[in-house]
Amino acid sequence: MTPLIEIKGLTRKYRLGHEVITAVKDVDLTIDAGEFICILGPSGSGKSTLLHLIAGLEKPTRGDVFVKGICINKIKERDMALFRRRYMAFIFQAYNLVPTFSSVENVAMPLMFDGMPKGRREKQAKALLTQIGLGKRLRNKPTEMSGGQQQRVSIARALINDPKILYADEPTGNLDTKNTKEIMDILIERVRENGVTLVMVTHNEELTVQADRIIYMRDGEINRILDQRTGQAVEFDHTSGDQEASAE
Amino acid sequence: MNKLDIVRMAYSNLFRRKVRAILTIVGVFIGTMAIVVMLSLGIGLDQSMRASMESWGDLNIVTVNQGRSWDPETGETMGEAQSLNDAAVEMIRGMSGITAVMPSYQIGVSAKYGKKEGYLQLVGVDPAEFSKMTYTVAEGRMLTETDSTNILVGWQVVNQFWDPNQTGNEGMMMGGPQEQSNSLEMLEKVVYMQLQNNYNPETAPRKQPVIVVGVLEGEFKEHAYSAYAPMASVKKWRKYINDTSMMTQEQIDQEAQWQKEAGSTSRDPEDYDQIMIRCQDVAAARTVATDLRDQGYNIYAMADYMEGVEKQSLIIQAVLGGIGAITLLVASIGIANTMVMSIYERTREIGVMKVIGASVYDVRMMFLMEAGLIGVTGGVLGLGCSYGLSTIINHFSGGLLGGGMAGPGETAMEISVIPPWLALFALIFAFMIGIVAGWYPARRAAKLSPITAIRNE
Ligand SMILES: Nc1ncnc2c1ncn2[C@@H]1O[C@H](COP(=O)(O)OP(=O)(O)O)[C@@H](O)[C@H]1O
Ligand SMILES: [Mg+2]
Repeated sequence: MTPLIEIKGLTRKYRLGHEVITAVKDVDLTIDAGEFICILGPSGSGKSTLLHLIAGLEKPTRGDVFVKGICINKIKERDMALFRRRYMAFIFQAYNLVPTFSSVENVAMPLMFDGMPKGRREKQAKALLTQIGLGKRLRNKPTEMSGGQQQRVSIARALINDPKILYADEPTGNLDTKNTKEIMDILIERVRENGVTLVMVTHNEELTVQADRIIYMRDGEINRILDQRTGQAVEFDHTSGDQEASAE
Repeated sequence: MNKLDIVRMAYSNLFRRKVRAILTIVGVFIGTMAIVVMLSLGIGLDQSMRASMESWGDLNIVTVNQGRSWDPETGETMGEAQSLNDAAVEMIRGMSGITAVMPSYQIGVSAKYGKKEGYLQLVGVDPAEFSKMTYTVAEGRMLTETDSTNILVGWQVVNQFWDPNQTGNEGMMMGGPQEQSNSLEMLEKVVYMQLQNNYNPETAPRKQPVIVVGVLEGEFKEHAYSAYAPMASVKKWRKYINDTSMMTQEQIDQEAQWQKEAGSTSRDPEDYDQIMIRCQDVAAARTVATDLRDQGYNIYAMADYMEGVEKQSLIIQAVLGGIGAITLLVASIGIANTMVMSIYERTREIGVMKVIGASVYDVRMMFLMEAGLIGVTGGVLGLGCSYGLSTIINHFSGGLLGGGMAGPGETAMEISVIPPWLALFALIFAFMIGIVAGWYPARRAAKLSPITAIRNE
């Protein structure tokens, strides 16, 4: 069986003046459907860049990303929009809601791009917002809501299309402990109940507790993968190019 | 993304920055108004020029007179004179774009009408052809095949008669506008023509009574000064007037001398004096006139003078339209500026929209539509105000243009005219200006990579 996501030799370099920064270096990884993956690492280790590459938001310098066997960095920009609408959703740290739109309008937006009429898509958006506990905030603009509420709107926007894969970049980075827990519960419920695949970037070790696997990143490279279901860890020693497995 | 949503998004995005949107729209508004009002003045001018030409003579009519062909621009004559006989009439009937051909004989005779004496310019025509020329009577009836001493008179014919016993009326012949009377009073009256042989002024004139059965419509047209009678009668009277058997030997010698000098052969007395041709439209009149002129006929056509008028008004319209177009062009730079600014401000939002599934096409259409909306809104407002401004201009100019050129009794022409095509053109043009101005910014927005947009924190 082919894995849901397969990453081969993924590298991304940036040119900053005369300097070349390698944000992601030669990453190989496979992710199965229904997995909850955490990418953990210090700031600047290349987590966000890796996530963007996997999600097809950015083109790699080298290497390939396959989703369901389709090489997504070869998909034309025109077809990419459709691919995004059908398969994936993205959750940002900064929520990124449209400030002039109400909660309902924000959540309904992906359906709008899909060509669904206003009445139908807003009905769906209302139902989802109510389910997520925002039934009283349907007509509020983002500025009229707390961070936690805004992030829940942004999660609803991500879920409205029934995506197979959810990408989240530090989704709780701006939130307090209580809101963090609520957001994490919503996301994890999606994975466990609906079989959604969740790839989440964080630098907060506490959030990785329920993850199936933790990908440890440093300086653009994966140096450890911990499978919390089996307790097995794979270490990568990049200085020698060897890799060794060890049990915890 | 469906079209309705594109418009909806564009609309809500446009008015996020109300002041900026309104200022940009005002630019288009002024530009549209400039172009519409300027062109409306050009069109008004053009229409009044045409109307004043038409008030003098029908543009569709080409007149063939005796004599040699001449150039309408230089007035120079050229070629040999052509005979205006039945062969010529048949040839003209065969030309395309012609609705009627009316040959005629013409005589000028002294006449008495009641106590008044005067002069009658009498044209002999075939009644059927005469009707086909689209002449109509204001009162009375048209000529029929059975008429022989019945005539029709033009509107001004009565003014060519005056009472010799009344002094100080010499000016009557010119007809001062304040004492204009019209020929309606002549209806059913008898006019006595004084047929006088050209070569024998000593003999007493032959008295020939005729009855006015109709008065022709057209107060100031060329035909307003003529009277019309059946061709056979006029031919007979004309024969008497031109009867050369009454010539003295001296006159015969003189005539021969003149003809020698003019280099022309003697004219067949059976030839018509004039052939009038009615054409389908001005364009046909112009080609018919040119064709016949090239064949050597002496042509007079109002349509010939249209060309100069048309050229002139085209230049005026181009200049006026150009001024308006520049204004609108400046407005389009305003649109482009606004769009670039708003894309710069919304870079991040555009990135997010792409991440959540907006296609390149969607983003592009949203911004194009926004620019188009600025164009259309400005265009609609500008057009609305143009109608207002046009009404005001017409009100205050009060027939400034028409009054000078058209004859009395003509309604005052409007100086500013907005035909429906101009209104439609203005709206489409304003929208297109918006689209063109928004093209580059929209392309730029659509090309934004989603991630640089998001990273741009
Ligand atoms: N667009 C870019 N241009 C230049 N350098 C970049 C760009 N994006 C990321 N980087 C660099 O790549 C490295 C990894 O960044 P990032 O993936 O954001 O790390 P993380 O998300 O783990 O904090 C950093 O050194 C960052 O400065
Ligand atoms: Mg990051």
